[in-house]
Amino acid sequence: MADEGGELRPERSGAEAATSAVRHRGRLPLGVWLWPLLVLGCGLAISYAMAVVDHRDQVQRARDDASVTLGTVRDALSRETFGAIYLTEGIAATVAIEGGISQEKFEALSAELLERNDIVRNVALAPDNVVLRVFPRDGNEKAIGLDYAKNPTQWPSVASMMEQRGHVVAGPLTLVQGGVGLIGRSPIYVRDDARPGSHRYWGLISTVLDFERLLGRTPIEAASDDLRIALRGIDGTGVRGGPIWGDRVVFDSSPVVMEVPLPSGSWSLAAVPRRGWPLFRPFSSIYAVTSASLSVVLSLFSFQVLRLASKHRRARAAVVEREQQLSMIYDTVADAIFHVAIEPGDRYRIVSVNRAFTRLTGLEPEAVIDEDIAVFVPPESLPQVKLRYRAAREREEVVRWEAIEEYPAGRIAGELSVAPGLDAEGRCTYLVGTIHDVTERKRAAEALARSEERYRTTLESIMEGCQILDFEWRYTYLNDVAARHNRRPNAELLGRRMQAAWPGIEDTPVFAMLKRSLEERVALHEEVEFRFPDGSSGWFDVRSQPVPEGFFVLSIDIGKRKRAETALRELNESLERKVRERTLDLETAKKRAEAADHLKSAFLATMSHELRTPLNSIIGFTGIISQGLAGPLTDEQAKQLGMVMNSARHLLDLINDVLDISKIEAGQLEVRPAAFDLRASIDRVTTMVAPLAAQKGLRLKVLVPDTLGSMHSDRRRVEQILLNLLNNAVKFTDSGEVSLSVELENGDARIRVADTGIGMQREHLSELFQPFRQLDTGLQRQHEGTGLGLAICQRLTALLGGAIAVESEWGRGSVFSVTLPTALHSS
Amino acid sequence: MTTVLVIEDNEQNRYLVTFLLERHGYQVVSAVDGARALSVARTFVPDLILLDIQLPTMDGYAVARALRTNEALRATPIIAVTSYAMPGDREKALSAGCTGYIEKPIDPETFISEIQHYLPPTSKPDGAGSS
Repeated sequence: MADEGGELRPERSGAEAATSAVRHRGRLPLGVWLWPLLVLGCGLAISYAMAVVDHRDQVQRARDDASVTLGTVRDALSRETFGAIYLTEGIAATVAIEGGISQEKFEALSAELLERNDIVRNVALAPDNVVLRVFPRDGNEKAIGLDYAKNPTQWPSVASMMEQRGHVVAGPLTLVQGGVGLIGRSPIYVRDDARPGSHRYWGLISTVLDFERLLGRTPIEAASDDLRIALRGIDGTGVRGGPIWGDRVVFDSSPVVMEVPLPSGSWSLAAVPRRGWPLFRPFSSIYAVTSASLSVVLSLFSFQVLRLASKHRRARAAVVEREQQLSMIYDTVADAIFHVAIEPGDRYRIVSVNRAFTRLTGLEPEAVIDEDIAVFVPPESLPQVKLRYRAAREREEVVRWEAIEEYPAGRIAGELSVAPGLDAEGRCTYLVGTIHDVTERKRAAEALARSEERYRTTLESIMEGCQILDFEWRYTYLNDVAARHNRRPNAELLGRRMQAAWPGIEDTPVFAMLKRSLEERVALHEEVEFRFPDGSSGWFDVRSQPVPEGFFVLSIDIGKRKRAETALRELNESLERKVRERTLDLETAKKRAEAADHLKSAFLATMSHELRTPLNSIIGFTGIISQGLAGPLTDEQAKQLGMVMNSARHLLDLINDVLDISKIEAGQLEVRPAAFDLRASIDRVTTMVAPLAAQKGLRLKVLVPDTLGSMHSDRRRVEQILLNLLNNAVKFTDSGEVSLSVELENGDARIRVADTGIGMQREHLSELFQPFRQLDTGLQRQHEGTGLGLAICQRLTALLGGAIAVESEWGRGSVFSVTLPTALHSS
Repeated sequence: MTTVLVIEDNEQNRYLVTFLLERHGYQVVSAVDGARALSVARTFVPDLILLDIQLPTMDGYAVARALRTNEALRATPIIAVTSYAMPGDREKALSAGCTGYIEKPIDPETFISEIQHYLPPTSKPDGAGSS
């Protein structure tokens, strides 16, 4: 048991480990990814911020450098412009004080001025806004006489100056004399004699400054080595003014911008480094790069740490799960399992037991844990058990044995095993024992053996032949009776195939039946005659029944029965033959009789015909003569012819009656039912009888209800019956009356014919309906008649499904009663 | 005048019927067997035919069937006058084409009225006798 478990367990757990590994790799928990990504994201963000700050510092430094350089240019520009313009203040002051200036003084002062400052190209004086004096005069003569108020290009600047009452600078602009210049204008106010204490506008003084020279006096040239510089703000309009100098694109390239103050307004000076501002290059920032690298490393590190932690957690969970599984297996297996610790002195202390142990032995864990194995091993087995335990630990192998032991729970037939348990160093420190309960199996095996024995004994002793063949048609079992039936010893057949043991058996019906039974797995049954190789044969009742190992054949020797059956059959056949012969005889006789009957009928028909033919002449001619058709007759002749006619009619009646009775007797009279009016028939018949009755002076009474209605029967025969009875009554009545009454009752027509005639004696009534009987009345043959009438009536009534009865009193009269169904169906 | 064909092999019977019919004002033509009857019927086209059943060589049923094949005689009443009185005789006669059936021996008192029954009202013989 332990060995078996030991083989199975690694296999199964290996497969499980593989599937769980696959499962775990597929699904890392979210946290393992999320935290490292968060660390990486934050680190990169910080790195970027550092790069941005670093860049901003670089740009600021570059701007500061540019500002310093540009500041020197600005200062120089402003200073030189102011200096040049304020030089005219001396001339202006002279004019203001003296209220005018002489040509000489103007020239002297102007020459001095131009000498001091080479930026100034000329000076002009315009009292009342009309240019009057210019220095140097050469080359500037054209300016003399210029009236500003009438010059649209110059006037706005002059007007602005007059409004501001201060210096203004216009330009730079291209000069008429050539080159680019600035024009500075200053208003001159003189004391107003008309209004003491106040001043009046005298005119203006203007100077033209050479712009190139002005720039040459600034360090702009040197600054342009590193910077691209531009100047805008014509006429001192500042940053929004028109371009003056340099590339104006500079103003669109986020330059360093400075204002150059002028006596009125300002210019705007801008500069950008010639190589541009420092660009934003994060990777060039050592801080950013270092920080980013650090964050990547940190992220990877944290991922690994988290992954390992997760893996560890899973592994721990898997171990717990595994332990639970094992524990479950341990507690659910059917076999008892227990661990014992090996203790000194050949003692074994029970460490744990599973539930099956408790179930098998009936001992609860509390009762056995920490106890010696003697607590459940019966004392008589203990030494043996200990020997086996020792063998297991010393040889380090599984020891197995079987035993039947008595435990508190009962007697157990068990397969036991004990396996050595090794610790980490490979020493055997504990043992694992198992008990496999085979009590049930043992019991079942014994029961099976007993059952087999019983069946075998039964099969041996029964009267039928029993044979079992496997799927290959090999005999696996035959009983003694089978040997008798096979007419050869069982040893010849056992283990052999049927086809080999009985050459030619494949063509026999019994083989076909067995084949079908084997192949279709159905039970079949047949009686067969089997021919043995020696030429003899026997009859057997063979039954084939599929069984798990093949099929079972039961045979019964029915030879005796078959012989009895054959004898019986032969007897039967001889009897049947005799019967057939007799039948044939009878049939011949019958045919002969029928032929005779036919002959009789034919004779009657012929006789009837042959008799009628002469009667036809007799009646016909008698009638013709009686009617006087052939000539007049005497009374005597008429009377005699009447007698001939009577006799002929009687003869005809006789023939008809004989014919009728013989037809009835031969069964040839056919009844043809149809609906007819019974009342009309009665009328017809009474009409026929009436003349005779009248002739005899008899009363003919007819008592028929008006509502008689129709009847379904053979009209002709009904009328014949009525006519016969009435004729009879009239015939046998000499005085009194004949009455006919008909009534319908319960589907029957009740016909009653009564007369007051001679009547009949009781003893004669029984013969009344026999043919050819006219009753002996003592008046032999006194009455005409064939003697067949009543016989015919009686037979016709029967044919119509009715009955006839008679009551009579000798000398007083007779009553004939006929009952006929009103609804006769064709036979 | 109404013509009646009488087919009858018995001389006395033929004479009887002929006498009876002529006395009652009918014109009578007669034949003693089937073959002659067919030829006479073709010639005279009678108004009524009285047919005996038992005839030599060709019986009355065959004669009736043969008469009916003649288009002119398709509607002519044929009355079997016979002494056959066995079961089925009447039916056999009717199915062979006969219109009526009178059993022998005939009754001279009723015979004429019986055959008049089968004639259309217009073809009654002139000055018919005592029927």
